Amino acid sequence: MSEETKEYAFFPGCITPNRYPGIEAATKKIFNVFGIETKEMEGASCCPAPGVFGSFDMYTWLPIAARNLAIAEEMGLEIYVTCNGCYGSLQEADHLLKENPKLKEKVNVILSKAGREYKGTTEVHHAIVLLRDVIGLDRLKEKVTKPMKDVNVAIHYGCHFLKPSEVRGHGSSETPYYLEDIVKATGAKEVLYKDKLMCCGAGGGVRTADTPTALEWARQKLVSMIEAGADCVIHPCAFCHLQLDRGQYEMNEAFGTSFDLPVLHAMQFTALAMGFSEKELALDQQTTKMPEKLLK
Amino acid sequence: MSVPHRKIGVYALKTGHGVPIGPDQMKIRESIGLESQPPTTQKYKEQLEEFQTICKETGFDELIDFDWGTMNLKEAEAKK
Repeated sequence: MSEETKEYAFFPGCITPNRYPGIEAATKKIFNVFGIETKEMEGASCCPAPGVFGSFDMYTWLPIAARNLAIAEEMGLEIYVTCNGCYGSLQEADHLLKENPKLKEKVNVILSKAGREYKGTTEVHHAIVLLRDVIGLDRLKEKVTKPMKDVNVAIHYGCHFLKPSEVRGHGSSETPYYLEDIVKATGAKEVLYKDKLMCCGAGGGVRTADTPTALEWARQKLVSMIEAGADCVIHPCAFCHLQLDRGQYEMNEAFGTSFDLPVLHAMQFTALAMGFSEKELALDQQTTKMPEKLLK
Repeated sequence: MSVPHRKIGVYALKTGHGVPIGPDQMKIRESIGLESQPPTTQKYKEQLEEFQTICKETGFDELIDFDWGTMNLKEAEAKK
């Protein structure tokens, strides 16, 4: 990753722009403060989702991902994403195609029918990685105008941010530090809870095909977070956001529970600490409500 | 593939997105200063056609039993 790069192509995916645009707004606002310019990827599609596409048909998943990569290549830019599923699909497709010339040739035959070519000239980054490693924690701390003092945060990573660790390059998937460092930089405190590194329950196509199982999985995590004293949960993934935010309403309807643990993408949490408002980040539009403690 | 998974495929073949945007979300986007509709395959027909071409080429449409006439699953499957 080049520290000189100041422009990135934003890959929107589906859930960030189409269900939780506050994640997109938070990310663009933060990057704008630090001089990182976002360029839109005109014509981008679904990444496509690793669960519903990748699990069933690798040879559809791969050329669709390669087409998205080719759009950024045509722009001459590296990509950033705000969703673990997009990170998983795009970075892993890029890795497979860069490592395997025969596969690249096969995919390019398919892409040629759509008038595209994958060359292997871009890189895929998660916005959280740009925040911590390119902007840097010292610069971030300088812009924290509303420190999250006395806020106890449960960190949820989801699956694809850390794994496969060899491709991601973010250290051991058992001892992560990206979100922990960002929580500290905002002045908040992490609370440890049981099964921190467990899936949210939605991935792998489970939420689509078996919602009760997916919700039970999430319920277990939420109970552990609440028992540990969390005021909110932060994460790096739009799909986890949907599962944990909308999922609390669905759980309350299905199980008669009364969950209301605030859910924030780490970019929204950071943007709040930098002084952006609940309304600017569309946090007032989601299922779980933000308590005064997070907004003061 | 289960019918729910194949129905996600239907959304994708119709819009390029497994989770497409609707009018309510467009209003939220506008209210926070974003373009109401993101500049993706759902907005641009010619870009969507590229996506559909790939899915025809790989046989994804056949995998989910997609009917290009109705833009849905073949009748019996759609009723499930």
